[in-house]
Amino acid sequence: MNDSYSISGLISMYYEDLFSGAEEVEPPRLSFRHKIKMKKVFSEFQKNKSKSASLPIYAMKSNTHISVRSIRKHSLAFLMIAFIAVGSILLTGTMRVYNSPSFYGTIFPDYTRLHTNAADADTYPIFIEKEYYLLSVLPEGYELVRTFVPPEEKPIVCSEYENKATGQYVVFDQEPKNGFVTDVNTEKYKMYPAKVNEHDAVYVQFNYRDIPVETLLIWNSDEYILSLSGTGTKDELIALASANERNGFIKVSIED
Amino acid sequence: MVSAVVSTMNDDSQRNELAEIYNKHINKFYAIAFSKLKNNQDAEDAIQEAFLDIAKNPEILFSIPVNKRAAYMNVIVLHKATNIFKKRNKIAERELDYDTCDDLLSNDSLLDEKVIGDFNCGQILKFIRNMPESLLEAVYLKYNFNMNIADIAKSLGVSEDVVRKRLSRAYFKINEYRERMRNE
Repeated sequence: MNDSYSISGLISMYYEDLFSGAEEVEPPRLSFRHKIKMKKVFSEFQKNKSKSASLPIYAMKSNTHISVRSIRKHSLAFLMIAFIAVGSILLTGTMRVYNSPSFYGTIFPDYTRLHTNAADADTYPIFIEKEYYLLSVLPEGYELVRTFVPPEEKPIVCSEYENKATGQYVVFDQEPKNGFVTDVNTEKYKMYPAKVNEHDAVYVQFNYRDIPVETLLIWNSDEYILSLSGTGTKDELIALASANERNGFIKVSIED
Repeated sequence: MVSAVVSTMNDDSQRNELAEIYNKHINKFYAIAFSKLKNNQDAEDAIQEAFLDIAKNPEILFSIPVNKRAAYMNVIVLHKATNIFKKRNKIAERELDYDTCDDLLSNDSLLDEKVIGDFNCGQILKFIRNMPESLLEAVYLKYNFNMNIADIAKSLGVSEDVVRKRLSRAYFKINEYRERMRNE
């Protein structure tokens, strides 16, 4: 063998072989639960990205680089876009925003970024500090299968319930009101306002061809933004949420 | 029309680089995780955990050149899948109590030095394959992605001290192997 390699080069080669060996097949349909979780992950990435005071050099390279020279050009482009946007709004009378009593959102081509309108949001902590909630009322046959409690700061707590006999499931999320933001898939589906007892809510009902209807329901509860997502129609999830609001949630101390 | 305008105004601050990597390479990530775990749910969990770590520390992703980010995520997905595999099979990995060999750590030339002629690359590759994954991934992240100790520690979910020990162990093992090969 005449070629020369460094040990670090050979380790790189080892990994390249390893990964190219992982057969790139079409994965089975990823679960709804996974999709919801990934949406939350991307939402958290976006939040933390915007918090980063200064991104290192590669971030600048990967993103649009605006030099002093090109400011004029960009300003002109921005003015044109703004002009077209204002013109379009005037012509069509529509804003690409979602608004309901407790939530507002910006509608992008494939998702809606949802925030809370709740006037008291700023008075609440940005993390779950003392206790997290579990559902006290469950549909027949459902049981708690896992709870995800982040080890340190807790921007969200998720608990998953499943009917093991049928494979149906529901994910219950608890998020602080303060700073609440989430991305909802509205590419092919529409978001509607609703009520969970007296609480303002929004829902999106997903219809897939060969699996039961799935729904995402988000509501502005007393202290937190709560959501249910999983198997069931919007009426079923609203009924489940209402029953839990009436009955009270199981509250688990964070210290436990 | 309005949506076209909105998407035009959707500048880089609105771009979600992590989602782009996920959407483009999900099949690959899934294949890596599934090949280790042989279970759909666990494979999904490994991918979620890998991406959640990056979501919490986006600066790590941005410190890596754009053309290497998917490869970086491959390693992290594999790392998470390995962790899940170990938990599932109750395999505890003990951090051997190696002292950190700062001399070795600062001697980057050991790993960058070309292996020529009398060393058989096939043998070295076999040796590499037999090294613990935890040591290899630390070396790979350091050299292939030019990452610092702190970022490697965050990527692997361990302390900086553990990363230093793993790198030291890797260097020690490689050095020992090379000396043995030279003397044979």
